[in-house]
Amino acid sequence: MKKDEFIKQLAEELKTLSHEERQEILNDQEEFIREAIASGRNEEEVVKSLGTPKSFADSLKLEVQVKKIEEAPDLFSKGKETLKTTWVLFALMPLNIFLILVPGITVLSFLFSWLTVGSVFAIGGVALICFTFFSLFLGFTVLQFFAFLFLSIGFISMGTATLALLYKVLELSFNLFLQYVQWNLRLIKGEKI
Amino acid sequence: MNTQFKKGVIEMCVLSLVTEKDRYGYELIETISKQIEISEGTIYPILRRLSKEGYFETYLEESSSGPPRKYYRITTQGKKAALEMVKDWKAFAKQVNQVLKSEGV
Repeated sequence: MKKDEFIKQLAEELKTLSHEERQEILNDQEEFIREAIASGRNEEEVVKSLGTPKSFADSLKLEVQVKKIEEAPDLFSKGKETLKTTWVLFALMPLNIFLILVPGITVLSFLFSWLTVGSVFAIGGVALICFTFFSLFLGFTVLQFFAFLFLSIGFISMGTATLALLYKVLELSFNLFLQYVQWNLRLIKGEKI
Repeated sequence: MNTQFKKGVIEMCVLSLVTEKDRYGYELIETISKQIEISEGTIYPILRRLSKEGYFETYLEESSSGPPRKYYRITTQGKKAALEMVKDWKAFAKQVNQVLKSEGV
């Protein structure tokens, strides 16, 4: 394939990026091929060394997503970028739908029930504490009051501990996902970086 | 070699080379490939990212061979980052060598 054909196809593959981003990549790649030819290399071979326009574009897109996940400031945006990356992965290799969907849904439903249990304990505890203070007016004995108070404190601590642990597990899940993406990248590009 | 690790090291090489003098993309690829085995597609994404982070400024300059080249110039912020990375790297390499030496590997 010649330079112009490669650039044309690459432009097509990078359509989903912003105009500015896309133009920058195309300019860079064109300059690279031009310089390589000027240094005495064969045009066809230089273009071939870049891989196909599709694999070239795919690995670029994935790498941009990986950076976004790594640099996301909080868990929420991390989750958002992870979802976006999943779509990119689906588009790259349809096989990924099976490889991600089944474990993904299992992990997600597990994390969701975890979140529910933690929240129920925490919110239930807070509700109970309100009830405990309110019940002072209903003629609770001191013993009853303290029993309820301790019970609600127990609930709240259990809830918070569950949620804190969930936070750690979430971080771990993101890292696992990132490793999976890296593995995909290596598949696309071959082992060399 | 671990790719993440290698990428970080290459990023440091790019930063240091541009700190030394203004350079263009292909020049960086050639200079680094002389010593380290890299895929030619690695350098441009690094250059784009470092520019985006404000470590490099770019400008176009006429070249003897055809259209103008895009040159990269280090910023104050980039220079600071480069010095820090190289300092950390040297300290780390020294420690690693010490460990290997003391264990006789």
